[in-house]
Amino acid sequence: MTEKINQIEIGNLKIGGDTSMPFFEEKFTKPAIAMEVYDPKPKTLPKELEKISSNPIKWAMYCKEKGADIISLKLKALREKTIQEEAELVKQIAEQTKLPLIITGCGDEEKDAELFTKISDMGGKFIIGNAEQEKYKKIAAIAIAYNHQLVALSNIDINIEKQLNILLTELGMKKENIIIDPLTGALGYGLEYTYSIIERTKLEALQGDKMLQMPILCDLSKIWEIRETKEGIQERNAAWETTAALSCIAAGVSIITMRDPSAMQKVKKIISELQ
Amino acid sequence: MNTLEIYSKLPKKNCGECGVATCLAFAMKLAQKKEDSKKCPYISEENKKTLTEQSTTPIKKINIGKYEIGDETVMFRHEKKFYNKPIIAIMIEDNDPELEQKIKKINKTSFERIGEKLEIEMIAIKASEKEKFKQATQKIISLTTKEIMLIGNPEQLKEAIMFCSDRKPLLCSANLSNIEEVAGIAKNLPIVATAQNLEETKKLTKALENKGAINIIIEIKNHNTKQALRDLFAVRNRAIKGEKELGYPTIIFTDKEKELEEAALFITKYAQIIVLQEINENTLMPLLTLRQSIYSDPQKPIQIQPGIYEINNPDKNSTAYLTTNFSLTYFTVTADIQNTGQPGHLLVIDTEGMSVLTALAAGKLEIEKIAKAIKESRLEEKTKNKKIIIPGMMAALSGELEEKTGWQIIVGPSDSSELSEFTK
Repeated sequence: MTEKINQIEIGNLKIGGDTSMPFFEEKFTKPAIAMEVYDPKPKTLPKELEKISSNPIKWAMYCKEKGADIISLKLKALREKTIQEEAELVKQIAEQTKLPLIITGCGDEEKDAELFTKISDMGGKFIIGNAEQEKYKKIAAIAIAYNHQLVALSNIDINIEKQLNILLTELGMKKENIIIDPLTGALGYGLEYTYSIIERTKLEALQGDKMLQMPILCDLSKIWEIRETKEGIQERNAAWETTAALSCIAAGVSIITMRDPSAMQKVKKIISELQ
Repeated sequence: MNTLEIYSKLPKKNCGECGVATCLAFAMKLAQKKEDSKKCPYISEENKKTLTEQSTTPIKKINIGKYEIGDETVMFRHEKKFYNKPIIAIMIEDNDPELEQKIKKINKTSFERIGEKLEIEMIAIKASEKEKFKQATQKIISLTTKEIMLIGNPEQLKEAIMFCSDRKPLLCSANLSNIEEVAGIAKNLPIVATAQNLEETKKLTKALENKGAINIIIEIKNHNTKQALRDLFAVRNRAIKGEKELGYPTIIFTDKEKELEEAALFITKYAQIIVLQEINENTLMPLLTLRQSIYSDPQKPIQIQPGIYEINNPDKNSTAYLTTNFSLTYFTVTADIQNTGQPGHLLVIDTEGMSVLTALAAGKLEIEKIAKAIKESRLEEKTKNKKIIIPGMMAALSGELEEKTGWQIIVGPSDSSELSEFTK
């Protein structure tokens, strides 16, 4: 029996299921692209998003128009808005875009737990994040209770990556509901560390390590925090993100989270040609 | 081959003339690829050939001007490392009216990153016809010191080489119908071997070797990105598995419509020469950065030079910070200090490339050492007040450090991403 990466369903999408490393014998498992939507909007944005990003719902619809497979909703406003308001926002975005959502909170375990509970009570299945080695119990409990999928975030360390999956499954999380986020360093600031962690993870997974067979997500957002992109040269920023995305594709990831719609379209086009 | 198999090929005289006392010891070193069988004066030609073959790396090392490519041994960089970064070339047609401007632009395109100069290494000149080709070659070699690749038929190549043989150009290309001609023209120069598929390629490389043209680069035909990656993967994989006829560096020409996307994939996956057409700093900067990243040694954390780094143009009133010389740490902290919007002096301490946490655990951040670093850097001359912010994780050292140095030690946040809040 061939070992493979877990295949999971996100809305109508199927991700993962790889039976080999990318390009080996021409095999290639198509990754999905998630587009970021923040509330409130971050400092560095592609020009085309500057106006629209003040309204998360409009931003999400724009991403859908541009071809996003998933919306990665990053709710950082829990210091300014109420849980109710944020939950409403999620509901609106889910209903209007009809796209699968990855939802991450502000990082405060208590607040996030409240938020995810509220969102879950409104109905619907999501990918929630992030569970981390030091704080995973509350979020995992909610994922288990409502049968959500869960993003498990580690810090560019394959041992912690595996350990976290063990902790989550011991708690009762189904391994098929876990997505690995190895933490993606920005291109020029450690991307290659993540790149090799991904290749190592996949090789181990394909050799039968069940605690590493989860699909991998690369969140490229760190690119937007570095000196090079802060200079604001649009074409270069898009190229920076495209280049990073492609190296992650070469490593064999299942989901890529991007910000720039023009970069995303270039990446989607290549992905369709690689199938 | 294992030690005993190698030993069986040696004369067993134990003469010591190779520099090693016994043939068995010599065989052991050969097995570890730490010795050269050519050093044995009594070995037969046949055995010497066998031993030389077994000691070469799966992907042959080829010199292109002052660069080395190939010498690769693994499928995945984490298994060991990728040894020689791929050459990036820009292709220019001999009748391009903007030829001179393009060369000048290529010459100027250069970025510095982690103490390394990132640039384009090679210019590929494509022939339209003999005279133009000659003129273009002459013009280009007078305008640049970059490596040269000549793309044309044997007749065109023959003419152009006359003007630039001392530049040791890469010749593109030989195929199954012109082996003899091109090998004759090339002599020792490196040659691109072009065939329709990998099976034909094997015939071609074998024939070229037989003609004495041993510096071969295999062209991967780019019908589409998917097929190109399949073939790049196959050459590396099969060469490692022992198919010597595929054991050469690869060259690939990108599709102009998707240069950035293809170059990123080919840099990551097994191409040793990548030929682009566009000279665009906005796409070249991330590509060259990717190349530097993928080809860095995964066993060694990249270190940066210890010392004082100035961020946002600091003056004597600016804040001083301290961190370690692990490159990832340095870049993260620099970015975070920049994000505070305020200028700062960042003192980077030599911890042999370890991050703050690792260095603390490994005892690389001793009070004495930090005090010495502060003193020797002469940070005191750059700041008015002797105040320095240290990483939150080093909090336990603050008291002693203050005593030892006479500086006011401020314990910063545990994560430098919080510096914006901290410095408000």
